Amino acid sequence: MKLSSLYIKSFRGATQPFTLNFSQSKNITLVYAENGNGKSTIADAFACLCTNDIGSLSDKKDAEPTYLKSLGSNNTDLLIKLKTDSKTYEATLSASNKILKNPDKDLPKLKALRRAQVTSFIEDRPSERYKVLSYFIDVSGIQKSESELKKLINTVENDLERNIKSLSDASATLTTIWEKEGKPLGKIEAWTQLETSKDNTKQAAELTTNNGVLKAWHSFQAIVDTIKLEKEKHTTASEAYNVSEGNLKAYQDKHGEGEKDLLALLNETKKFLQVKPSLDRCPVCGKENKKEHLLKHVDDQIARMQELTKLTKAFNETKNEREKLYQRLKGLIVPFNKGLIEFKTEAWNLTDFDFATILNEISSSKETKENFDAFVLVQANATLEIKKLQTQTDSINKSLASSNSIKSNHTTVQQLTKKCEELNSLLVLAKPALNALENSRKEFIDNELQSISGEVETMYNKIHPNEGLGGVKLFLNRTFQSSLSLTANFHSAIDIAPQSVYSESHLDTLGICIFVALAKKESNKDVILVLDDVVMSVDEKHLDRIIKLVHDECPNFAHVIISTHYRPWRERYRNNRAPNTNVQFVELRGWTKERGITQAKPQLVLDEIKQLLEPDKFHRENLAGTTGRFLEALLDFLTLNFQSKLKRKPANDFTLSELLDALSKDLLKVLKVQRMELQPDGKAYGTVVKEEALLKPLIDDIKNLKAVRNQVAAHFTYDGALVSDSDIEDFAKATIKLAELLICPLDGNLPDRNKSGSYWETRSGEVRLFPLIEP
Amino acid sequence: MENDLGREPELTSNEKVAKIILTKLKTDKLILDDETVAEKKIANGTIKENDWKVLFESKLREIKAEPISEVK
Repeated sequence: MKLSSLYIKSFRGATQPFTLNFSQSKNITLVYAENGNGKSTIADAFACLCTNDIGSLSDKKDAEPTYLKSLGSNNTDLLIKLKTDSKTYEATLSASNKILKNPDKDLPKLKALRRAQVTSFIEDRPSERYKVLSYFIDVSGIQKSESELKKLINTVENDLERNIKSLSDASATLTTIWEKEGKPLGKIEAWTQLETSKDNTKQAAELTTNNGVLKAWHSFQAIVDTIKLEKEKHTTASEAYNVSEGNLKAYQDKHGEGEKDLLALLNETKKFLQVKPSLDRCPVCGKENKKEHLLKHVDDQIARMQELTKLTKAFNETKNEREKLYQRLKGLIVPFNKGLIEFKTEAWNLTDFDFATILNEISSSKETKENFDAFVLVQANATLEIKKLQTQTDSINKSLASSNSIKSNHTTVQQLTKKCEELNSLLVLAKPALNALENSRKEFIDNELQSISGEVETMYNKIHPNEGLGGVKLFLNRTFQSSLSLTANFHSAIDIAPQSVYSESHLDTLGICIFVALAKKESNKDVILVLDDVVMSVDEKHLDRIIKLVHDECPNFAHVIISTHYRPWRERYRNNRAPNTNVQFVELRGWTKERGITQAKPQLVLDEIKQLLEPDKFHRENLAGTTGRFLEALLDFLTLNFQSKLKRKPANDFTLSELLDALSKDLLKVLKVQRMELQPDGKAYGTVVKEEALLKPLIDDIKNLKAVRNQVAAHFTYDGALVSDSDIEDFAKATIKLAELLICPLDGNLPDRNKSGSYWETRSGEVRLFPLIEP
Repeated sequence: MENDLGREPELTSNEKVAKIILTKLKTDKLILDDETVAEKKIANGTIKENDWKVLFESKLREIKAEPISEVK
């Protein structure tokens, strides 16, 4: 699979549509940009399209897919489109902030490493380190399954605990009953067996009968109490009546019988007069008279007879009250007899009690009032018998309750014992199953980690050879579910935490090696590896080694995308200090909301010099300056290779003259370059020399023109103005010639490898530089 | 069968571990030998607490049904 282009619209920093076209002949893309210009937008676009991750947003708290869209854009505007030589893949953002992919499966394999992941992996706690690892070795499904199985085990264990408690309670209750009963039969099991086999039907029937009698008695007693109360009231009313009757009689005896009749007549007359609308004469004597006069006369008469009125009223009231209470008492006769007969019927068959004798005189008639008197006579005896009956009933009740409790607890014990056995059986399977899950997962990860340990060691030694570092070990801590430990060697110290002794850049490179090894393991030359700004600040020596590592490993991947804000990396390529023929440069310029992400056209310095030599692009100062700096880079390489003598300077900022003079006469005598014949397969591994050139003449030419560097490019001087254009052009041309002799046309770097032991050569072997050591 | 990218579908880490787990559970007689659905569910993490319970109960029923002489 080859990448063709990446199109990004309304995604992160891409406020304007942005397209990155990939070179079909190069499988490393270096995206250089200062911070904030869109490097991570490109890396995140790959992550969002090809993985379930949301890229660098995941490193921030409360990150949500909604933040993926650009400022001022809608979800529907967002589009990521990746074209490869075989297919086009698209990602959009739904209204509910879900990333939708088309197609949604068989997406390109991608492993993206960000600096935050490196830091987290190396410096965080083991549990956090495990999370980072899970991006490479994803066993999240297994962990979810483990979690559900743990839930089951917890549920079953809780159930079992609860049931064991209930079982214990039921057993204790049985024991208590047995002990209270004096430990019959000596063994609780035998006693329980006996008790639970008992038939309580007869006792239960007896209890029902007794309860029927008691219920009838208590119900009947309520009526008896009512009658007694009403009787007392009637007696009181009768006495009141007798008194009022005596008082009235005494009055009549004193005032004659007629008074009473006259009062009655006057009251009737008053009523008669009140209802008449008008009256002119007395209805008795016929004399003329008015209604008002007649009424007043009658009222006066009645008032005079007030005592009689009072006595008569009292007599009538007491009489009525007595009659009313009598009727009420009469009304209780039927309910009383009914209750009494019901009680008698219920109690008659209780052979253990004397109710038959006691109630013998009770008639079966519901109308007779004699039953009350008859009952009053036997009530005390009946009450005594009822008490005896109650005692017996309580005893039966207690016995039955005890028996039922024994049976119920016995049943509970049996049921809970069975339930506990079932729960135990479940645990017997579930617990080893959980162990199998945990162990399988951990063994798998351990094996995966172990399988890359050699790779990590090799890679790390490439970056840090002979530094006493390595022995990197990654392993799961078996005590915890998700905990990844990391140890390494530091000189004589074995298996220590590297965080404690390694420098920050050594830890960074360790993280990078581990992740590249993990990504490589998953890659069948089909993984796109994205290294998003993973290198912060390393020295020149280590940067070269990291670059070399990336180049060594890139054949294992479909494509390697490196984004960096680290300018030395860019300059290593631009000045041919690193192999650059397989590298596609992308340089991003300053980002603005209006402009979005924009690309510059980066060039190799050598190409820039060639361009500045063209008549229409010629620029004296630029050409002199660019050539001078490039020449310094070439001489820096040569003096470093041959360990030439240079004055010590704190910043190693040597001038062109110093660098040129550092190449000794003895060295220049033998300093030469050989170009080897390429084999039919395009590689240079043969022995046939195609071209050989001594460098001294060229370096002499350059020495003659070296003043151009300062006079034209660096300072405003009169001498500078005197330098001819042709001198500047010769200075540039000589430098180009030197560069083209030294730089390998196949991989674009300088001969910095010592494989033969007798000369330096480039990565491809096409360019050889002699001698190996200054004579 | 090859997919659109021209490669054999590869097992994910989850699928690889699920396969190992299922073999182990069957070897250790913790689930039924003819269990077929669990592997996929374990791999994609969709197996629930009750699904596990059903798996073990099925095995327990099988154990109970076996003659005592065959149970070791």
